[in-house]
This record gives sequence, structure tokens and C-alpha cells, in this order.
Amino acid sequence: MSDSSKFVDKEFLEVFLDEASEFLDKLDYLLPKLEKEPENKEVINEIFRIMHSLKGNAAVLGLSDLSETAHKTEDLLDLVRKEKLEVNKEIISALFDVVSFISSYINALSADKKPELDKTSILEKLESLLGSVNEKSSGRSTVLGESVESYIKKLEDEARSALDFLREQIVSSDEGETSEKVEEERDMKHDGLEDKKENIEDAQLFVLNDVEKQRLAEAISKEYGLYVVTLKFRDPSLLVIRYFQALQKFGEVGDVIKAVPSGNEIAKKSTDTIKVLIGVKKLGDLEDAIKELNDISSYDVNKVSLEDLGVNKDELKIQEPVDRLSELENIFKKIEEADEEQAKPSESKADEAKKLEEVRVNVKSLDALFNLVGELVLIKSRLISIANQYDIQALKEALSTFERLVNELQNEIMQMRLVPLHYIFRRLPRIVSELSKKFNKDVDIYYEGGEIALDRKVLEELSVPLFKVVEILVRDDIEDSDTRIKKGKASIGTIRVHAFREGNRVIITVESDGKGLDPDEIAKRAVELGLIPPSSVEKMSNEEKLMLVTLPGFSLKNGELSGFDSIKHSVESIGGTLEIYSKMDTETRVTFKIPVSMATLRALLIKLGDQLYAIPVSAVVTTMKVDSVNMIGSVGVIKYQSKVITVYNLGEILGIPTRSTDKSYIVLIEKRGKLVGLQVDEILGQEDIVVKPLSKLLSNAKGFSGATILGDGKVCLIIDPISIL
Amino acid sequence: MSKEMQVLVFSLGGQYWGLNILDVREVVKIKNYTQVPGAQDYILGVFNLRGQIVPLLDISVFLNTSRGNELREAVIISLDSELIGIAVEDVIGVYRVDESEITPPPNEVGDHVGGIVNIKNKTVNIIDLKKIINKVSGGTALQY
Repeated sequence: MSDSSKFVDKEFLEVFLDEASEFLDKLDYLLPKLEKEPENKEVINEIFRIMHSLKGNAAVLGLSDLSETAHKTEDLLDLVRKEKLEVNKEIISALFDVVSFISSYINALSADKKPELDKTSILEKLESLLGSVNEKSSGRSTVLGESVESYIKKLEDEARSALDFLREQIVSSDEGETSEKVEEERDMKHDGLEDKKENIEDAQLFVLNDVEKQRLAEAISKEYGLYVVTLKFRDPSLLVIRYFQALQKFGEVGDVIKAVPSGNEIAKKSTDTIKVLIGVKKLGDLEDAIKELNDISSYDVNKVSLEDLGVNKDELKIQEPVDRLSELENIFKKIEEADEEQAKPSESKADEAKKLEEVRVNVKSLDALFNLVGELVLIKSRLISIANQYDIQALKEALSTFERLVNELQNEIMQMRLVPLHYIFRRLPRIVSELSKKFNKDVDIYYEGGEIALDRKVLEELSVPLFKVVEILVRDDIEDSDTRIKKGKASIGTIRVHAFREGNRVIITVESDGKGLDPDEIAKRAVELGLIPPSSVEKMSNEEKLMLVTLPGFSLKNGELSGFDSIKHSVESIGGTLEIYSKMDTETRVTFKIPVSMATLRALLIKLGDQLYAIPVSAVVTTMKVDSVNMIGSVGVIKYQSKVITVYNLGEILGIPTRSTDKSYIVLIEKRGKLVGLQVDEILGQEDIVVKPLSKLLSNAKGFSGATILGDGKVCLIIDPISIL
Repeated sequence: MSKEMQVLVFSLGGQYWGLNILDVREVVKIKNYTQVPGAQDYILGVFNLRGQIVPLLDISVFLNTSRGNELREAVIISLDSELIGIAVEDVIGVYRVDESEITPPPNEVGDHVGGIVNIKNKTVNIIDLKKIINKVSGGTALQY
């Protein structure tokens, strides 16, 4: 409902953003790869194609800044493709700039803001790179002169034999027979001839009616060349829109004679390919028009003649001049195109088959489905308890099948939501590369375990803390090259990210081989900042001292090691834990232990006042009933296994009026290796609960990690006992 | 020709209030809700709406009115993709009004009232939901 969203069409925007973030993901992976392998043609082609699509998509939505930037980048890469330019540091750095520009642009759009970014410096950079080539290019072509000539000769020969073959084909198809021998011959001839074969098949698709013949006659009278354009689209669901966009665009440059499928059929057809018969003055115009289209996965342009179309010239009452030369020209073009096409890695049949087995589902639908199944699980528990309560045998039997089905359903949906870590890992190289530049360090990144899958929600929440840890390690742990050499270390620092599965959890470690974290320095600093009392330091282990960096407000004197508090918070919000280990000058290791799925949680139900609350069982050491809590001043203590344990009244902490009874129930939890007791009114038992997030409006209420719906339909808040104290 | 608008009218604090029907998702009876310790005063709690956990707001504080009777019904609105329940005493009904009949409110009423209209001889204050939501979300946490 905000005005700012009106500057582009919302529906298209969503599709565009989807696609754009896919592109960005790919670029995050491709750019560092290009940096390492500047000669890698495939990578250059891939980036080129992404820029090309981005340019087109952005143009349609009127995002001219983005479109222009992508366009210039595309031009630059085109020069690289044509070997007029070599990938060097400047180009890489320009590409990184372009990607971060696109990334902030897309982010602004996703946040429903009008992006106000300055593209001028990037454009200038690209322009200057482009300019440098144009100066050089004239000299270059003379060097190549000789080889170009021989190449042209070769093409000429191929074209001639192609023409011969074409003539043969027309004769044989006129006779209405295609012998197997011809088929074989076809296959044996040069690759370029494949196009010829298609050419004829294309032409046969177009059986023209009178109106279409009239259009054809008009095109011929204007001396237009006839072409069959085959467009293959990436996303079949948008085919109808793309179809009309294409026809409109073509109408601007020439006469569209016929399109297959027709406008009426297109909505019903499940195809990703359309073919258009068109007459244009210049092939270049047509190709420019195609380049401006969106979402094209591949295209093909074939010149056709009236004979190909099976139309008699006399029928059109206009004489068509036989123009062998232009035909030859077109064949040249086609061979060139064919060569270009070959540069693109073609999708294998297997991939295409796989595509059909996969469906893209909106994340929202998946979430909704997930919620519904969560409800179903709750209802199931309720029914089972009713069956047990009234001891209804028939119901119990029916429920045992029901239970199995519901469990299977839940499992399936959990599986559907799993996304491999690779999705965030593959962004690491670009991030590390950018950070290295920013902090002037030399860092290599290695990662493994990308195949391990996590719930997409968990994955989403994980990326920020993971990247933040990497940033802190590059910034504050890894030394600059000179220092490293002096210490006798390899001049380039290393960060290793490693993921593996352990039971129901995924362990992710981030290691760096920098200077290490000094536990005593950290403890001293924490006391200095007043974050902990000086007396507590003595009893602390090194691990505990290192964990002090996660206290809110902690940083070393120059701001070093700041940011761990938000990391810890994010990790804990997805039910994970954070550990830090360091050995001076050898290794610093940050470990995340993350649940694979946030779905269900084993929880202890307790009562405070007249409301139920849930405490995750993972946090609970044990529960007990005591006759009384000894008060020492305002602090309660109890004895547990001959240890004295501090007890807090949970109701008081949360500000809930509690019943005061003689008997007290204590939930023992462990916080940073220390046992702490929480006094509650009643303990009701354990239950599997489905965790649901709390509204952002409740941000003031601290100490709750979410909520769940109990069997009776009431909402029960989940207490996070660690953060509450 | 002037435009018509449909207004959902409810009572709260002895007065009649209206919301543009386009802002309203549905109306449900308040059966029970769970209080959230530590949350802002105007948050009564959270309740279960077909498996979704929805915060229930008492907006009387923003409307400068006092809450007299029991809050029996919740008007559900959608904010971003999140649902929010606004607790009201009773939903009276939905009425068509001509936009030309809506008069701007006098200054002293406060900026939460977008206009005043007479429906069946009752004065109905039409709430500017955007303003209320901005206050609720602190203007930043959520975008309407």
C-alpha cells in the first residue's frame, strides 16, 4: 500500500527479484572463480549471459540505472569473449563493483524502496575499460588479418556445400520422399548443416492461410528477407506474456507473418518454444530486437525462402528477385552463430528430464503447508489422548494408521524444506575476496560440507552470523602478509568452513590460522568495560574467558572482536549454540551447532500463575521438588548433589504474579557451565511442540523464543531460560 | 459522481468507530488469549487463529478513549504478511457511505481519526489505520 512500490509493477517485480537474486547467487560464485581462472571461457560466457538477461529484465521494468550498468558490463564481457580484452585485475575489480551495485540495488527493491544509488563511478570505470580496447583494436585486427582470411575461406567452402545440400533437400522434399540414405548423409555432413535441416522443418510448420499469404506478399514487395525465429524461454509459466512481448517487439522491426503456436493456442500449450515467421529489412534489426527480449534461454534465426514455405511466387503475384549473395551471407551468419552457440554449454537431455520432475513452489505456500501439518500433528496428539482417556478400541486402531500417515506427511514436508548449505557457502569466496580487499589482507577460503541440508528458515537465519564470523576473523584474526612472513607463516591466511552432521544437529566450524584470541586479554578488557566483576575472572576457564566476547558491548581497544553478541543472538534464535576456541598464533575456531530443523521441540510444560509456559528440554538438567528454598538476603539457594545452587523465582523475573506455596518446584538449567535453579508453581510434564515465531510487535517482551499451540488450542509461550537470566 | 466506501462499524469505549472494509480481513470472537509478560501495555496478548499466533491489540489508548465493557470481538487486519487482531467491544455491522458525506474531524479529536460520518443517526469516527499502526510498530518495525 506504500506509494514507493508503485513505480514498478508489483507482480513483475516479484518475478524479477526472484530471478535477480538467483543471478546474484551465481555471480557470487562465478566472480571469485574468474579471478582464479581468468582464462575460463565458460565462466565469462556465464557472466555475460547473466548480464544480458539482467539488462533486458531491468529495461522492461524501467529500471534504467540497473539496465544501463548491466548493458555496459555486457559490452565489456563481449570484448573479453571476442578476445579483444584480457581479464585483468581492473576488470575483476570493476566486476566486483558492478555486482555489489546490483546487489544493493536489488536489496533496495526488495525492501520496497526506490534505489537511490550512484552508478556514475561504476559506469565511468566500465567506459574507461571499454575505451581502452577501442584504441587498441585496430592494431590487433591486422595481426589477425591473415588467419581471419583463411577462416572466411573455410566458411565459404562450408557454405557452398551447405547450399548444395539445401538444393538437394528441396528437390527431395518436393517429391515427398526422404529416404533413409538422405537421413544418414545429413548426419554425416558438417554440423552447420543441422541448421539447414531445421530450416526446412521450420518452414513446414508454417502452412499459410490467405491472410498470412497477403502479409507475406507485402513483406516480399518491400524486399524484406524472410526469417524463422525460434525462441526458447526459460520460464514456461510466463510464456504468454513473453510471447506477446516478443511479437510486439518484432512488429516494430518488421512484418510478422505468422507465429506458431498462434495467440489463441499459446495459453493452452505447454511449451517453452515459439517460432515466428517474419519479414525484416535487415537481419541486424531482428537480432537487436531478440536481444531486447527477456528470459530467452536460446534463440535461433533461420532464413527461409518462398520455396521452403511451399508458396508459389505467382500466388503472391510479386516477383521475388533471386538473391544468391544474400543467401550466402546469411549462411555465413548462421555458421558464425552456430559457433557461438557451441560456446554455450548445452543442457543435457537428462537435465531437461529432471526439470519436468521438479516444480517451483512459492515459499509462502510451503510455509502455509508446514503450518497446517503442524496443526495436524497437534490434533493427532489430542485425538490420541481422547482415545486413551475413554479407552475406545476402534478409535485407537484408526488412530494408529492416522498417526503413521501424519508422521509421514510431516517428514515429507520437512524434507521439502531442506536446502543444502551450498546456497550460502558458495557466496563465501566473493565475501572473503571483498573483505580481503577491504581490510588489506590476503586470505584464501576453503569450504566443505555444502551438500548438508538444513531447513530453509534455519539456513536463512544462519547466513548472517556465519558471514559475520568470517568478517571478524578476516578483520581481527588474520595478520597482514608482512606480519605473517615475519612469524614464519604462509603469507596468505586461510579460512576453512566445514560442516558436518551430528545426530539431529549440523555442526559448522569456521577456522582461521591467524594470531589467535588471548583469553586473558579478553577477560581483562571485559572487567575494564565493567561487563563482569573482577572477582569472577579467577574462576574462569579459558573457554569461558573467550566466550566473554559475546557479551553485549564487548570489544577490544580498537574495536576488535566486536560483533560477537549479535552472532550469538542470531545463532540462539534458531536454537543453536556458539563455541569459541583459540590457540595463540595457530588457530581460532568458531563452532555453530545448529538444529537441522526448527520444526518440533521437546519441551517441559510448567505453570506460573494460571498460565502455562514451555521450556525447551535441551536447556533443562533436571527438575525437583523441594520443601523450601532458603533465602540468603534476596537470593534463594538450594542444595543439589552437595552443591549450593542459586534459585530465581521465574514468575518474579517475568513479572507474573505467582502462587506462594510451601512446596516449590525447581527446574535446574545450565548456564555457561553453571547450574541455576528456576522456581516455578507447577511442572506438568513433557510434550513435543511446534515452534512458531512471535510477532514483531512483541519485541518488548524479552525472554521468549517463540510460542506454540497446545492441544486445547491455547497459545503457550516458550521461555528461553538462558537469555532470561 | 462520488465514490462509495464500505465501513465496518464497531463500538469501543462507548463510542462508534469505523474502519475501511478493505483493511479488514475478518472478524472473530475473542475466546481466550495468552498474556505476554513484558510486552507493551496495548498488547493484550496472543491468540490462536487457525494455527497462526496473532497478537491482540487494545487500541483504545491510541483513540483517547477508555475501555469500559468487555472486549468481545477481534477485527483481524493484515500487516505485511502478519495478521493482527484489534480488540473491540462489539462489531455493529458494515455500512455503505458516500465519501462526500465524510467530514474532516475537528483538530482536537486527534490525528488517528481520518473523518467523521453519520450512520443511522450515530456519529462514527473513521479510524486512520495507518497512523495507529505507525504508533504500534514505532513507525519502523513494520511497514504498512
